[in-house]
Amino acid sequence: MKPWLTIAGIGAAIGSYGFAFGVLAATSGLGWVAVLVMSTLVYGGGAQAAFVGALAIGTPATALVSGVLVNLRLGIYGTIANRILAAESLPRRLVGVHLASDETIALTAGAEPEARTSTYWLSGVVFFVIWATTTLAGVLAGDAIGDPETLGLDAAFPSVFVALLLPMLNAPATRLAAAAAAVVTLVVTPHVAAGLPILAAAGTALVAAALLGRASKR
Amino acid sequence: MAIALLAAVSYALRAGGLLLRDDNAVIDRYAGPLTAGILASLIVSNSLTAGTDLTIDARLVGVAVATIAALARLPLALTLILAVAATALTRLLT
Repeated sequence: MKPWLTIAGIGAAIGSYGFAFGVLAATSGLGWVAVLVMSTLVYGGGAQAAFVGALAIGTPATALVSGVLVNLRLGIYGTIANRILAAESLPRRLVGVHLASDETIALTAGAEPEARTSTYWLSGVVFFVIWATTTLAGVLAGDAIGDPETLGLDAAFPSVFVALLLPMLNAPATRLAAAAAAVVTLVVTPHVAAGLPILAAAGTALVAAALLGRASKR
Repeated sequence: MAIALLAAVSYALRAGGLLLRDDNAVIDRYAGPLTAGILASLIVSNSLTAGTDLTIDARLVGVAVATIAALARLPLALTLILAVAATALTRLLT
């Protein structure tokens, strides 16, 4: 598939989710300045949704903790982004690492090795601009829209993740890692705070890949 | 204030990755399975959970449609439209 077609498709998903988040933030009482600051400086859909969701039922402190927990995986993405941007200057890496997200990392992991750096920058900038503008549009549209779930927009992200994951399942290590991570997420979710299941899943995926690597050497 | 702190922590987490050495062969070997695991986890949490509860709702129909569309190698944008439409339709009918 042509890279820009894929980027456009993922961009559409980010836009739908961004718009839905903006509407959600407006109904939770956040203004457009707060949303714009959040979308550009925090730049993490899951963390922003967790923050707003926790703010609606708790204090700013619980909202902060929820957002940070969801964003802990950015540490992993930072290390991967550092690898992708290894040939760049330090200032460019410091800017580039801010663009690391679920979508840029997954998309870049699936790209040809020689196209990884350009794919990262192109998708990173496009997704960042789409996220900032659509969340802003959502918060401005606010209550006039009604419930974004009626439009099915909350299915956009898992659907795009499915489309990104399926082509990666061509190796035993990724198949095992994905299956183990899915099971762990289901089992762990009811018992821990939001943001932690994905870390448990990431750890499980690494252990599964390592065990498979060791077993196949015998 | 809480937003500023969240922004600062988020950037620190991302930039923390820059401190690792560039020639890390381990990251090369494990980036694939790690990304697959994270995507699988995101699919589950975005389609089967609400907060810390497990739920089954219309999103699952959308994800099922997306899976079929992706296996049929439809373009991503079309896959997305079909999935969102299927979810909205399911909510309308139930």
